[in-house]
Amino acid sequence: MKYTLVFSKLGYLRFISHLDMLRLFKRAFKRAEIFLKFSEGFNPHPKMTFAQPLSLGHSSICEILDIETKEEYNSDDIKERLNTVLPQGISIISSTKQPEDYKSIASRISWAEYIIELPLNEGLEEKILEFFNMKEIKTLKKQKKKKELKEVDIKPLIREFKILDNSEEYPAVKDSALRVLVKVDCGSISNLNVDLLMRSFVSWVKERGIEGFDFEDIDTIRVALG
Amino acid sequence: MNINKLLKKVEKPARYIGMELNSVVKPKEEVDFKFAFAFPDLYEIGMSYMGLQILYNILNKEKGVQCERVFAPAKDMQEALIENQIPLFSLENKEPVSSFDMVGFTLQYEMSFTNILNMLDLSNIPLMAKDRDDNHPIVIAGGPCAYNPEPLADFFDLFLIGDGEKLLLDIVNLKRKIPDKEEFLKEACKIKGVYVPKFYDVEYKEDGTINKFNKLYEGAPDRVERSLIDDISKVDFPDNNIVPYINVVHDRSVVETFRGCTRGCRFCQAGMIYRPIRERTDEEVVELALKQLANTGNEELSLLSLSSSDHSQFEPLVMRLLGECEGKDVSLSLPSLRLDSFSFKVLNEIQKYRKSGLTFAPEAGSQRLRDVINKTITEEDIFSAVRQAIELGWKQIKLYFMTGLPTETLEDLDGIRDIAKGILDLNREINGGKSGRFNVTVSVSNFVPKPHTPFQWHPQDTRESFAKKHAYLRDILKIKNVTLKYHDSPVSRLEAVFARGDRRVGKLLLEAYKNGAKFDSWSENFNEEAWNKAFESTGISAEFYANRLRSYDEIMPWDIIDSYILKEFLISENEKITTTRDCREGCVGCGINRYTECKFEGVNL
Repeated sequence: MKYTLVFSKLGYLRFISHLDMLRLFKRAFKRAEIFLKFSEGFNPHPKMTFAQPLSLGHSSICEILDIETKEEYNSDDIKERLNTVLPQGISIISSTKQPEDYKSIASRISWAEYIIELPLNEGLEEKILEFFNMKEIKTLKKQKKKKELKEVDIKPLIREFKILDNSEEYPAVKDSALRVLVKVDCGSISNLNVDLLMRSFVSWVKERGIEGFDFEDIDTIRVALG
Repeated sequence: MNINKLLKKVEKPARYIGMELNSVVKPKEEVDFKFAFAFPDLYEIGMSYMGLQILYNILNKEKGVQCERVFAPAKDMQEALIENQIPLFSLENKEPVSSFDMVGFTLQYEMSFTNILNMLDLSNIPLMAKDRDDNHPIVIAGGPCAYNPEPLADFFDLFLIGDGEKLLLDIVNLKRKIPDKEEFLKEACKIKGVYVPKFYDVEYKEDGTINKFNKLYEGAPDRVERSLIDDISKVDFPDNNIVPYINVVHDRSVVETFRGCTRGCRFCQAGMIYRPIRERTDEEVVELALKQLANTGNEELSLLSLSSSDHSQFEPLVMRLLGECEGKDVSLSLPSLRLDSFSFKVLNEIQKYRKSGLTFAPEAGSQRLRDVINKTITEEDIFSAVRQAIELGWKQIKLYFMTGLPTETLEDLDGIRDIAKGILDLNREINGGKSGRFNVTVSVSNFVPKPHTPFQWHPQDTRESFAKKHAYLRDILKIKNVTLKYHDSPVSRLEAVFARGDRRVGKLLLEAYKNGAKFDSWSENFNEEAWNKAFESTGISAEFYANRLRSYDEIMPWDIIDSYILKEFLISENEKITTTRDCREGCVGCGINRYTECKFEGVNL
């Protein structure tokens, strides 16, 4: 039986890695007594597929997990049983039964949307607008094979961006912040790591004389995958 | 405290966030006493230690008490804390350690001592007990190294000696009743198992040995008796262990099957200080195991004791656990097995596909020396076990030995080679003359004489002697398919200094810490320079503590602690060159039965 789960990762739990999430879910399924199908072979592992690993330190309200179970469960039941055994910070938002010929969504993801939270430093709003509106955003990126740094233009990988006005409610880490929504390429064909984007913003802004904020002052929340 | 920023900078931030399943955060208004359980090493090490889970569970079950954890921060976190002027904080509520009512360190190994000072320092808690007052937490310690508390006497307000389950709770509740520190300490020292070092002054002779302990408070006991729980199934054992997010050293459910050991190896401190054997019934073990697995979702179950196979109901217990594990995709791991035919049957079952290495601990190479140390395994035992192992398909045999044991000569080391060679020959014989991908790993550690053991009077080998023996071993073990592993002697010598040190070595520790020593048990961090300088500036002689033959009438620093084992027994064991029977074969007269019932004394008579 195949199911797609959507879950959130919030609070301190954003500091656990993708690999740790695998272990966390493996155990949660056991505690919930939901029996997953195992792969064949000498080292069998349960059939779970995460779409697009989330970077360490990022929160999310849209993580996707495809699972295959040994027996059939009511999909709402899966959600409820998991939510009673999951640690505070991880919770299942939805659980959907899939047809048997369903192919995991993982390979079909092409974009992701993030809310970036910046501190409310003076002048930052103007700078972020200027930054995103540049024709090119040149940054140094580590090459996959050669491990050398190469200058690349990441601007084409940014699909949309806008400054959010604080009259609406958003999933948030900071109480008050300058919130920017960005939609970027995400997936196996074209991918932009938002941390890379924001690191290049931080150094760009520092070159322009704005001090008093570091990369670590930025919080990132993934809000949609598609 | 804004620790979010720090967490983004460091490696494995999950070491510091808490929030694990089964960790406990109580509503603030329900808490009147905060206890920080401090483990002086990284999260991954501390979370593999069952004692933490036991005491955490007991303290947090107590109404009004909140027990939180704190571990030694890794280097990057340490730097980030200092740079941002953030004090060391607890995992559960992320509160400064200095805000707790009591901080308790566990003393598992001597080479973690510098981390204790570092953690106090990072917490802005004065290192010396005399510099702390009612505004600071009470700083206490327990665990096996507390059986010689003297090297740490300057830093701690009190030590807990022996079984901690009841004692720690008693101390916590006493402090809740008596907030005044001085009054509290005066009452605390009257409880069995509590040592308050400042109520004693040590007088030394001209030759540097101890003349006597002077009591500075008359209410303090002449000797501190260890705390002893007669029946361990009467104390709470956790069934809802904390489940770490990150990979820790032992990521599994654990049930303690028994405490103590009847074998009486003469070098072994645990075999002496945890007497007598106290078992949980197989029923209790199974029940605890099943609850733990259900509450954690762990994929591995392990049993905890000094020697798994020695449980009186071991076979039925293992068969039941195997049955329970099978349907749950849980693997069973059985450490320190005696390698008899039953063990092989079980090992073959649980390691069906992936046979990890098989480990034997003959400890000494020759029968003569094994008799001297009372390790009763014979060469025949080893070879018949190895034969079975090879026939069942094991390709990796690990052998543990010690070097520097009392009376050891190069001939005894030759015995190590003979055993390794014998195993290779056996493999070739069984596999029709071919070696295949077979490997024997010989792991040799340096003997450290430990307090409260028959060998407590012995000198440790000098560094030169260790170096000579290591070189000899390297030479005689240049054999294809044999791998030799051994440890550097500077660390072993420091262990010997602190294991049998007196109050004066506290200065050495403090100096070494100030010179930058930290995480000394991690070889990549060991800072020999820091220690050498500390020896120089304090004038403390390592030889005096490590390499001196002590006489039976010398007052030992740890004589202030009564382990309930008779000195006469330790002396007679030390004098013997033949083996002493296992006490299941009949009482050997160690003296523990003056204080509690030995349920297994003479059961196999």
